[in-house]
Amino acid sequence: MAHVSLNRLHKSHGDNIVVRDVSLDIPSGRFLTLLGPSGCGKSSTLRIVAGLSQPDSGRVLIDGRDVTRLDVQKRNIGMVFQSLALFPHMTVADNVAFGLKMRGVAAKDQTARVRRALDLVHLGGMAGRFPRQLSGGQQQRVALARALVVEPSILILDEPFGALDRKLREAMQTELYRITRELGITSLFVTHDQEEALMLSDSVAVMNQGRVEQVGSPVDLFERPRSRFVAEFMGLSNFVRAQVVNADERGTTLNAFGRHFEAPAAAVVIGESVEVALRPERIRLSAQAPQTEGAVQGHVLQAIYHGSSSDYALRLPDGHVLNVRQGNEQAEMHDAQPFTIGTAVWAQWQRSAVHILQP
Amino acid sequence: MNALLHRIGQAVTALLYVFLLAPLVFVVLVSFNGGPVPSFPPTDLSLHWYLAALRSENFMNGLVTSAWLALAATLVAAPVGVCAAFGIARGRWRGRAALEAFFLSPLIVPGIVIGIAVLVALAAIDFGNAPVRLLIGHTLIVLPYTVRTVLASLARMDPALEEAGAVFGASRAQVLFHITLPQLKGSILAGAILSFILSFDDVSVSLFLSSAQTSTLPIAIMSYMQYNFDPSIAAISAMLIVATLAGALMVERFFGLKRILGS
Repeated sequence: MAHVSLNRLHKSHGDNIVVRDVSLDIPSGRFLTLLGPSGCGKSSTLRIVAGLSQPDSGRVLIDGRDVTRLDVQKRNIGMVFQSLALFPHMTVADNVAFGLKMRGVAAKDQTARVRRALDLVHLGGMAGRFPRQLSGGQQQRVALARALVVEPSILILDEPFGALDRKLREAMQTELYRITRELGITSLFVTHDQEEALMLSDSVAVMNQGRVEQVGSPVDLFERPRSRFVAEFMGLSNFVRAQVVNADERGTTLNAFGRHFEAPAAAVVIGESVEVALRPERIRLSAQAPQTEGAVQGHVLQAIYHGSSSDYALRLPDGHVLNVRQGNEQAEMHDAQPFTIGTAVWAQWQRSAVHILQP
Repeated sequence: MNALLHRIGQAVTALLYVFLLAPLVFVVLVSFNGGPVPSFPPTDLSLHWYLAALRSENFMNGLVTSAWLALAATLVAAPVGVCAAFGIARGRWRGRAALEAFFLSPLIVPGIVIGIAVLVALAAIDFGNAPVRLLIGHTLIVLPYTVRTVLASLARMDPALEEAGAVFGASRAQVLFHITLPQLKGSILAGAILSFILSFDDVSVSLFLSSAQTSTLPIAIMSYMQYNFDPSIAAISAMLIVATLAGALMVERFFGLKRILGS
């Protein structure tokens, strides 16, 4: 359990800058996720923290101590690799014991700690097996136990669940959440899966082209994405340019789709053109014109039924296409649902559905 | 139509096997002949010529020489080959590809050329010790097998394995002995078995490097054949075939022959 800080890390391979000025802070016992598409620099950053690669400049601090030039062996790190990297020629118990053995822990203590670690991941009965005799999920658990047993300063996980099918992935995510919170271990997680990042993390750093675009709590990032990149990564769509009609501390009035609508207060100037994101799941559709003001009418261009919800694409009179996700249980109460292609519908939204993005 | 093509394919494969295996089967059958000359089909079954072969001082001396030579060449080539493979696979310097080609070149250069080259080179420095001469020649021809099997294993090994070792506290030496070498065990063993077989069966290189006193089994068989023609040759050959087959099966068990022979 340690406080980990990354301080202005830079790393390039030749002309290719892979990590640009990355500074992050993981308070003791917290779970930080690096989120981004492949090639965004998240894995390179993780490898620098692990000590598997050296930054060109910048520092890694663990509990205030500069470990940037410290050998990987001496960093006291627990790591789960993307390929898991279980040692194929060792049994489960030997895999888990490896870090203890290298640290010179007495054989008796090794056995006890290995047993505890395996119990923690519910693999008590598998100690004598070889990795190839285990299922994918069990192998994940072994890798996790191997990383946890050494009581590391920081637990590092490099897209560990990418290869699992959806159901197993969800089970492992829940498991990882439980274990990390139970042990109160400082964790650094890397993924390109937005949902995984949101559900597991205390804070998320969205990375793009080697830079940290935005850091914040999952709610922060989801509710207040600052850039279009982050917004897109958080599953937002409906990006539109809007004119600022009015702006004060109570809110902002924008003009787009040929009408005025309200948005939360933002640092904008009247008359300026801003990019706006609209949350698809916070737009309400109805067959009749609603009583309230500010609804727009459109035609259903596309309707995709997902069971509990449906995704629609609406064509607005001014040519814009609006993506809408509508819960079907609510739709049923208005007894006209799900909408079919070609239907004329009304779309309306609260101002919390609107995000003004930074240029 | 497809079924017909399939049948034809099967027939061609079967014919190929017959073509490859018939001489070996033939030799084995002839070796059980009781008569004084090799004849097919065997006139009367007997192990007489096996006994004769095993009693032949020529053959037995050759067998002992060949066995020691193959063992020594294997034991020299294996560590050298492992080191060479590491250098080629892990090095980050220019000329690695050239070095790889160099280490594998004995596969391509005819044995006769290697034999003559070693003979001429050693004669130039006035070195005439036949056992050492043979050892040098045989080490050269078997070296590519270890290099190749280990290179293949290193290329397939997950680089994260060694990283995991380091992350969990192993020094470079500990990573090598606890993680890397255990991963290579099968391929080193396979390379060694192949080396042994190749050295044991070699004729062309040994032809130039053996002496009247130090002769390998294949050379002994060859010289015997120049003056005699009896089924003891078939008997000793049959024993060689069985031993080689056993070696090949062992390699298959540890490593899979395909991975060495297919590139």
